[in-house]
Amino acid sequence: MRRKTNDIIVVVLLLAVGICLLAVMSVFSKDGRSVKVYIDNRLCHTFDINEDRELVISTEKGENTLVIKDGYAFVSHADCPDKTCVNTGKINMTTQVIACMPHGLVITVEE
Amino acid sequence: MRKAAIVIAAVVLVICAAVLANGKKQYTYSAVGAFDTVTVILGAQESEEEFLTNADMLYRRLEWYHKLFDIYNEYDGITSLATVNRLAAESPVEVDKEIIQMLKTAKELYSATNGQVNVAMGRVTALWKSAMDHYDNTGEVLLPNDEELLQASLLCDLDKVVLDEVNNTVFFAEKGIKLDVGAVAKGYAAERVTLFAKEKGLDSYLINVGGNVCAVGKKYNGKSWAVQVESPREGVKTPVLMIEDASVVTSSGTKRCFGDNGEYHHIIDPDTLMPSDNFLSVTVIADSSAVADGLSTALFNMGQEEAISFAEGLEGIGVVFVTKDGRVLLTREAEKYEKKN
Repeated sequence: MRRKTNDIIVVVLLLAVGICLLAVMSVFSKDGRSVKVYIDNRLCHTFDINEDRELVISTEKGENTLVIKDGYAFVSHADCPDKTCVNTGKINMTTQVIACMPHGLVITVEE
Repeated sequence: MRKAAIVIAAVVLVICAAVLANGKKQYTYSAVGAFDTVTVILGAQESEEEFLTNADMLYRRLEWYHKLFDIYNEYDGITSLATVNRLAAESPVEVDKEIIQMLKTAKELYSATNGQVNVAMGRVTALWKSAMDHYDNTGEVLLPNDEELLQASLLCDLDKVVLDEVNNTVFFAEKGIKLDVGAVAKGYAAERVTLFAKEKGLDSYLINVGGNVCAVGKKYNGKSWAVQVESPREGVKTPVLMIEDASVVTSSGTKRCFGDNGEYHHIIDPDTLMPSDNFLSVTVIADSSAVADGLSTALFNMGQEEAISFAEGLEGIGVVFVTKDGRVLLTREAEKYEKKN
């Protein structure tokens, strides 16, 4: 009887350890996302999405103001004609992208 | 019992080891140009070098489709749709099989939606494009006049575009027809590039051609890809969709528009010949990106009630509508993809 109880404890402990390991790994896979800025298809900046900042990205084609705040990235101002980059709004997922075609600027979230 | 414990322990350890040993990381590639937009490719590979080689291969493929379906430019060694538009009324023009297949898909979508997506409306869309270019250059709103639009609309019969699948030719049975495949070509190309990726053995990629999103398999961690429906306007909260081996495409009246409040956009209603005014955006989730692309345009052009009942009748295809007053409506099929939490 006692042996059976011990077995159950061992099983439960092992399962708990396994689940904890998986949980820890899935947390790690979510963490460490960064905001990357490409100009003319070249990677120019990498920022931590959890560190708030504001930065004017200027090229000879024009200026875009990138804001990283509360785990989101967005373009607050731009001097391009179409303002698509500003209108895209806030992004925080790896499948999202902010693009400013006139300035050749692409902003992505990456893991 | 002890045996069971050992078995369970082994299983748990194997799972952990497998997850740790799967050294694939997700990388990103971006390029500007094809289909006059930005393409972003995400993919899981063991090394960045491997990823960049593959992503570059996929993007080159996309560029090839861009040239093939280009209605503005002609190219050496490629018969583009610009060439077809110039010559097909005189005699059948021999083209790549992919042009035939794309136009065939476009014709199927045309009949399935009672003509609400029509790639033979090139004459009408050209008038609107001139108006948009004029606004971009001068800041002046100069709309096409009714007479011009009416005349142009008389030369928009898609049934007069004759495809010969044996000889791979396109022929216009009426002089004056011009193709504008903007509603279908990008989705078709994205879909074909996705299939090409699968043929090459790639199993965890996401190809985003200017908002036309196509997933190959799942994410590197075995989860579905989370794709947020593009919001057509600030303050409209759109759902996140969980997809694998599927495509998400949005038609929106707040993109590529002109006028002081951006009131004139690029999706022209075949009935009114004016920019459609029924929704802020329509998003379609389907296995086929060409279908998602064409359907999103067709639904955008339908009246609100007609579009919603049409969408509810679609099997295996989800639709997310954003109405003019900013309400977000999901069809039953779309709810199956919605991320819940």
